[in-house]
Amino acid sequence: MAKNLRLKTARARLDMSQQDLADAVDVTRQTISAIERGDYNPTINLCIRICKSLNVTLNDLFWEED
Amino acid sequence: MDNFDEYQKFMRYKYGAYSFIFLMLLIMINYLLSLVFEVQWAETKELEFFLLISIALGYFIVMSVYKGAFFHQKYTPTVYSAIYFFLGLMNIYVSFSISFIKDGRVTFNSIMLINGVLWFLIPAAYIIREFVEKRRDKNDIEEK
Repeated sequence: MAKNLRLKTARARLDMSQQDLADAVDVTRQTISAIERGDYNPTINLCIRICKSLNVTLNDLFWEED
Repeated sequence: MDNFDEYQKFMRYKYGAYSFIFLMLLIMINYLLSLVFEVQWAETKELEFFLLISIALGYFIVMSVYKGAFFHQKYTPTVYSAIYFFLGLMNIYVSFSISFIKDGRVTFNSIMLINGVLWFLIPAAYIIREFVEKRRDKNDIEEK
């Protein structure tokens, strides 16, 4: 699976660390790290929580472009 | 499982299943050993099974800790790792004062050593994971 660089960028734009985002969406830092590395495909519920925390849409972060 | 997040649950289920398959393999090999060569390496058959279960449990513990799925979300891994380290060390230290092999067979005294090793695996896997993560973060920064 490819790295999710868009998530990393969106997080960095808000000056949030992995731990900050993890606390905001109620998961562990390892979970955010695994999503960013592309090691784990989050459920739609977690995707929505992440998007809400980062003020972006699902398309912005998780839609694969050709 | 309520205190684990979805990734942690996924990892625990995954490595729980792997551990179970691993245990089945160990039991089959042990059964074949005793069937074909009539080998009994522990005092009793029950102890053999207990030790095989400990190996599978050890695998589960190491993988769960390494994947960040062992500790609850609200736990502080560093504190618990330190407690497990001392528990493990104490058990291993005590186990060396008693002999755990008699007449070429593992005795029940080995349970203390196995306990110690299982406790000890938690901080060991945690430290390795921290080291690997730090190195990975460093590489990510250098890539930028």
